[in-house]
Amino acid sequence: MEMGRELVLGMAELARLEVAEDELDELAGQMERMSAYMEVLGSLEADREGGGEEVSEENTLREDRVHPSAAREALLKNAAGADGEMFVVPKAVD
Amino acid sequence: MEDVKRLTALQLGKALRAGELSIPEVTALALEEARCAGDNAFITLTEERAMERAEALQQRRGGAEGPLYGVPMALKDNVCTKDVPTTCASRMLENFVPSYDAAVVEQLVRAGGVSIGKTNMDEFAMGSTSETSFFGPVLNPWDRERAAGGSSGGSAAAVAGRSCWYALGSDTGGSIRLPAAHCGLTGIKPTYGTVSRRGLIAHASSLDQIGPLCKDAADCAAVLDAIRCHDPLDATSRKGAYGRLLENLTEDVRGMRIGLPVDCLGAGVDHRVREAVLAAAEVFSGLGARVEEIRFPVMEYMVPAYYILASAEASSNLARYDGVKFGRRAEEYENLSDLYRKSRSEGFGAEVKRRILLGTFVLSAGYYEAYYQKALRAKALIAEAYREAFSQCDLLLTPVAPATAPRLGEQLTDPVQMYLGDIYTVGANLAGLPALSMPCGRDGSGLPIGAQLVGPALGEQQVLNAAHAFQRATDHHREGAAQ
Repeated sequence: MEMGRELVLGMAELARLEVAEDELDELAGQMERMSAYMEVLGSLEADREGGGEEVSEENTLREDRVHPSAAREALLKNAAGADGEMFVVPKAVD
Repeated sequence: MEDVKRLTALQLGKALRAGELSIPEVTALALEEARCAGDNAFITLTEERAMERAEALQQRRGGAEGPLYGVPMALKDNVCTKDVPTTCASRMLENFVPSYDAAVVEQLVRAGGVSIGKTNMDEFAMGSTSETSFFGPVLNPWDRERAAGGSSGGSAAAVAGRSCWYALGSDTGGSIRLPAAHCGLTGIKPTYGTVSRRGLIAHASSLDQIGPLCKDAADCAAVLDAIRCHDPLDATSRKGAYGRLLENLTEDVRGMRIGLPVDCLGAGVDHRVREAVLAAAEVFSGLGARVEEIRFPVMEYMVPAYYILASAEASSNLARYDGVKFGRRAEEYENLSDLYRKSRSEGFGAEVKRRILLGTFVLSAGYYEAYYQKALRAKALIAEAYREAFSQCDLLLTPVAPATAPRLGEQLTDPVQMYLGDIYTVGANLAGLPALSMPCGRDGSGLPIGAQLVGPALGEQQVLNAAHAFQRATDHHREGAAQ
């Protein structure tokens, strides 16, 4: 199917990605080729129930017991924006 | 000491147990080779940590060590290692240091493994050549102008280049098997659910599996024995009886039925690859196996189904990289959405962005049914085709790839061409089956060719037995890279 610039920009917005103006046409062309290649699946019925995986397991449950969580310091150490107690982000709600 | 580097992991383990060599000695040898190799196989070398570990293991020896005790190895850089950078070869995680070890790391620690570092790979395991890494491409030890295969190319180059005796990779669509084939190694993707994914940075969660890249099938058996388990902290982990693959390894394949799918050996396969795989089939016949041509009429669905499903899952998995809790954070942004957009755009490379966009597309309203749900149907048909094949035979024998290692840069200009190279490997991921790559010959340029053995679910023993039998009868796996 045709993948215009508008469609690619729409997907980029959903994926929270920036696509530079000079990348758009090439990217649209690549995605169009990829989707054309996938047209071979067009004759199949859609599977609404799952993938027929070889492995099927019951749900994994555990005892309802409290275990220690990861230490705050460990969780914060990889954050570029943190104040020692919390992750810090720009204000999202007025 | 050059001879020591040629040993298999099991041979080295035996020599260490016998006191012929010391663990610090071989670890220092591994680190020196890794430093000087010039193949960009490693992103991080953990020299001090490795030598401390080697000394501690040497002191602790008591005579009851397992087969891999003290053997230096390497870990693909999408496997979390506590206090050691784990980057996924991405600018996004350039400075990420996990606070925990992956389950497989815990198990290799228990088995006495000595990690010398984290290996290079395609960014977020997206690629077939290990060229999309933020840290530069991996060079194939067989020919430095060629790619090592991907996405576990660094792990393959490290073993093939004799910087370590085995390595762990991950395989979502062939990322252990393809670099194994291109670097003359034996690598296996286990049955889905038999190796814990806890601590593996996710690419496509229903397809990812960790597995070994080694010099032969026996080494693969030993490493799988160490890392397979049921992990209650991985909801996709499968209960089972694990740990006896090496003990039960046999070279007797008499009566084994090996299917040769004719649909995998037609046009599109390099004639030297075809000849090498057919020659492997002859070897199996000579060993008493029954090799039969079979039809496998789902090949046209393999690559489309895989790339729809893998990119859909990847787009979801990589949504967590938003600059907030970990990973790259943009320095300038206007609001929260802008923070996400800029952090992600600065952090991800071109191939990762392409796959996220593709995954977003196939999951989006108006296209979900036409792409994602049809891909699920194709996945079910593929699984059914394997079940049908395994009602007639014990294993399938196919090429690993249509051609040998490409030149650096050759496959980067056309993503669809690169994706087509995965046609023989993605099926085992889609169906959750064990699949192994082993050397079976060389092309006209002297580059290694890989043959793939695929087994039914939990069929690792028969896959490894067949590979072991082949390797007892041939020498392809002993031919090292020229360097």
